[in-house]
Amino acid sequence: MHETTIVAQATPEGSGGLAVLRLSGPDALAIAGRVFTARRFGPGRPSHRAVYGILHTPNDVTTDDYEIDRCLALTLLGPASYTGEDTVEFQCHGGPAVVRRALAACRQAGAEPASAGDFTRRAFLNGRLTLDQAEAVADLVGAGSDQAARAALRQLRGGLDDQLRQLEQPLLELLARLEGSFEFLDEEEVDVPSAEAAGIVRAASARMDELLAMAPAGRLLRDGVQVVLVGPPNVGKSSLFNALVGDERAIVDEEPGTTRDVVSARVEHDGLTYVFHDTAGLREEGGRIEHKGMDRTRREAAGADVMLALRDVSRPGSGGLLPADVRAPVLVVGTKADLGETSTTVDVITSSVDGRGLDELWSLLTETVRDRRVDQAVAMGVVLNERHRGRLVQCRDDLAELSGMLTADPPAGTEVTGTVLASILGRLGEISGRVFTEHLLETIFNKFCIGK
Amino acid sequence: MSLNKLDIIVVGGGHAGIEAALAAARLGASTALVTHDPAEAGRMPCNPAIGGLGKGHLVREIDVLGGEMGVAIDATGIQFRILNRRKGPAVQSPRAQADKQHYQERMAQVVQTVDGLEVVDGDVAGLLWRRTADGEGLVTGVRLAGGRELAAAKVILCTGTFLKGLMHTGENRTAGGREGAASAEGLSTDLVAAGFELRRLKTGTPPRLRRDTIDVSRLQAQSGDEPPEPFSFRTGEFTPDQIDCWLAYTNARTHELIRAAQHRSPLFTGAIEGRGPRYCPSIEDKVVRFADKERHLLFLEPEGLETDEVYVNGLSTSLPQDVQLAAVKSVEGLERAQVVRFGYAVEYDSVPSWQIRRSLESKPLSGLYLAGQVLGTSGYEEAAAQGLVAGLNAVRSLDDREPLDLRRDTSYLGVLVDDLVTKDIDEPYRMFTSRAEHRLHLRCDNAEARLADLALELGLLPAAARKILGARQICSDRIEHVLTKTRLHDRDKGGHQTARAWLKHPGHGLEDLRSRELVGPDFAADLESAIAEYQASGAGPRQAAAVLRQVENTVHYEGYISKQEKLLRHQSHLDDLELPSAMDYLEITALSFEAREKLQRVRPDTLGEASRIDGVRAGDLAVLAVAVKRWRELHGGPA
Repeated sequence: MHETTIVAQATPEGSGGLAVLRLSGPDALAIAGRVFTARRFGPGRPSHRAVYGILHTPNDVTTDDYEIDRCLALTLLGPASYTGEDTVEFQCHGGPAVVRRALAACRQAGAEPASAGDFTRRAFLNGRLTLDQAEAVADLVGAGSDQAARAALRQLRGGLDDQLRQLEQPLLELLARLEGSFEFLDEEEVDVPSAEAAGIVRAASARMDELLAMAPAGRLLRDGVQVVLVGPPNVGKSSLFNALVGDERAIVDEEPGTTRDVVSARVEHDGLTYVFHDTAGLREEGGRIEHKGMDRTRREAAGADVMLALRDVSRPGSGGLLPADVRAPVLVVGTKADLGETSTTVDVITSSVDGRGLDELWSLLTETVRDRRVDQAVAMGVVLNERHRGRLVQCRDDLAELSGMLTADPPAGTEVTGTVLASILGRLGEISGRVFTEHLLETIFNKFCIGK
Repeated sequence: MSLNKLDIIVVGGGHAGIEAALAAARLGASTALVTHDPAEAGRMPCNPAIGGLGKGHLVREIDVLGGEMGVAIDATGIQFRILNRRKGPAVQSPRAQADKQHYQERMAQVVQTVDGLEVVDGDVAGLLWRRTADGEGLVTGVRLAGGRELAAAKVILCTGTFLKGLMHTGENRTAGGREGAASAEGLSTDLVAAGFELRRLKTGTPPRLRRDTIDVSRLQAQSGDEPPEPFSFRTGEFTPDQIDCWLAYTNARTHELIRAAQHRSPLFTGAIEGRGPRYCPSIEDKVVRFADKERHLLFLEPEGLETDEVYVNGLSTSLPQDVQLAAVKSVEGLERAQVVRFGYAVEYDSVPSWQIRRSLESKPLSGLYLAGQVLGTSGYEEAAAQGLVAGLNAVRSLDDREPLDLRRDTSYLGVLVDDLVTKDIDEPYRMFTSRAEHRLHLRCDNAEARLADLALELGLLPAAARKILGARQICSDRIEHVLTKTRLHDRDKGGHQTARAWLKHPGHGLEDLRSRELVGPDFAADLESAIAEYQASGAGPRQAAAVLRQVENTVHYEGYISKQEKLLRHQSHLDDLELPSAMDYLEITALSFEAREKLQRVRPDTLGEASRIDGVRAGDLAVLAVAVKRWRELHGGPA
């Protein structure tokens, strides 16, 4: 297939000091040569080398704004690149203006803008990634933490597949017996008692529930643990946020109601990604804009994995409002301990000024997350994505219905339950990638010896 | 009729050849059936029976479309049973013991009396074909032994086990397609020259015993159903004379004898190269594979009313004759039995079916159709089904019409054809109900309803049968309508629900509605009027009862069927995605190597077909779906 050469930013937009622009396709080297000048760069040079040079417009050197950035260019010749095609990656400064101009230069030099997922799709089509791997990569690009990487790697080595195989095997044997009971008639009595069949189906359904219980862990690994800070205005949310995140990202001010929007930051801790969300303080007063901020706080709180409810321990009675319908575990965090302590009805007492209690808060967070089976998911190598989860839920519901058919009075006929079970296995096969019909016949043939 | 202006030549007078030739001639094509023994058309070289699980479904469908097999077995059967009576209607299937001699005499007579069909007594020594200007292979006729050539636009090859047939009994090997018949050697060579790939397969048959040497008093008899059910919807009142079969069992001594002779079995010495069917293993295979089984069931099936031969179902073997005899005599009730004919295995060339299209026309040679065992299937019914399909499609192709659209969700014929074009069959293929994912809908009882529209359009059925079939459709529609509009009047017994809803409950029958007075007298009157109208078309009471049973089963299953359709819906979505015919699968390196090769070879029309090809996994489908989308972006065409 003749492919075009595409270009796009390969790092998340607006995510800090460095941006990687990826140029991939048959003309990647030629196009790069038109926008990048350096010694030892261009066709004929060895792969997997980075050189320092000038990223510029493909126009004449005397034109205005010729130079865009001074940066590194990394040449990766296909098939040993992410996409499997010839690739050049520019590691330039992350400012939006630089990125915009660099992309425009590449397009002007002959590259086409990549659409979402283009690089991964090419990697997939060129055999660099399997579907599961592509999915795992997509998961990882979002999370980027050690634990997520380990889980995804295990999944690539077949963690989910193993689990599904263990789940399928008893069902496949049951199906072979059900089908055998009418395909191989006049043999000895081979009927399967309905109660026994229902037991096998329920056991499979229970295993499926166990797998599904790991879906939240999959999301935590992929998207990070969502930690939302709430509390009354001026309780020190933004200060704690900054202390946890480690830079001056949120604006901190003495005046209540400073944080009118939600500010978020990602932090890696103990192998997991945490995404902290600093929110507008909830209070009765405040202007229209501030109320808008409070609405967003409430929305943010609904999607939280952990909520930190802040209380100023230096001042008595600084309870404050908690957003309604919070399902996430809540940790009550005392703040401003450096100004004195009056209240002790909190889980942990901290001070953003002298840093006390922060380690304790981190261990509380880690403990809270441990309940979500992250360790188990990592160990088993099962990171369920939405596709897996949807299929599994459907299969589990179908199994429940099948179990109902088997325990009904009178139970549904074997030809019906066999047919339904076959469809369920077919659907499971879509997750695991197995085609089961021949597998089934093989199982049957090995079990029964035909009569007529 | 002149043999100089033939439309269609059918090679082989077995079950596939007969249906192909009859269908072609009855639709007006000038047809020749070339067979080495016209008197033996429709011979049953193995089991003296028609039907069985999945196979009975095929015969019912063949019958509705106008094939011959159903009426022939109804006329010559000597024991009729519905299998799986204890199970649900979807997996019940008719099976009949045939009087082999009568069956074949009847078929020979039908074949010889149909207008437009010339029976040619001869052996086909080779194919006539050429390459067209653009390099395509085109069949032009056949060459008979002795050099005579017959030209025709279409050739249908139904040569069964005759291509390079080689029979084994113990250490003895004889060339031949079956006992007492020579093999066909030249055709294989011509097929290879035309670009076909061939594959060796193997099948086998058990010994036959002399009936009066069997002590039936010590065996358990198995009788036919009373009253018996015929195969054909055209058969009216049905009162055949029925005989018994008997059950016998092998024992430890039998197994010992067979194990001791293992080194003399061509199956284990390596003399047999072809792959045999796993579902029908020979006895020497069974005692090895099921070593812990203490006994195996044998059915003793008389081969006819006048013949003395009894078929030993379950004892297929290629062991030496002395071992066969000793093994037979070790069975209780068979101590004094004499073997009339010994069992043997036969190896033969088959044409792996990925080389044909859904029409059963071959890919390497246009105009050449294949049907039956030569395509790697096993069984008279599977062969007849393909023969009918090939015959119908060859005729359609004469008029440049599209081949039949047989689908997996409307018939076992569709399942068979789809399996043939998508599966890499490496053992003789047999139909099972497990192969049909739409099994709850594909029942024997509704074969007429499923295929009536197609049958009436084809016009292969005789006029009287067409009339009955049309009336049957109207009748079943009317009954369903009555069930939907009638409400139960007794509140205590679930009143005010429709009769249809009430009927869905397991154990509820149409007759109960009347006998338990759950509905008013109008219901019975409506029903009777629908039935009366059907019977006015020429149908008898038995046929009328069959319609009622069909409606009952339809209502009984409809909840399950809609659930099942929901589960399978994603599949039909795959069938909607067409694969570009110019696609080069070898280029898609993300596909597994096996998938790339198979796809390149089979060249499926849709993603659904691709999904059913052995060796193509769900992961490959995802790759394909993406690749097709990309291919269209680059090359144009519907997205």
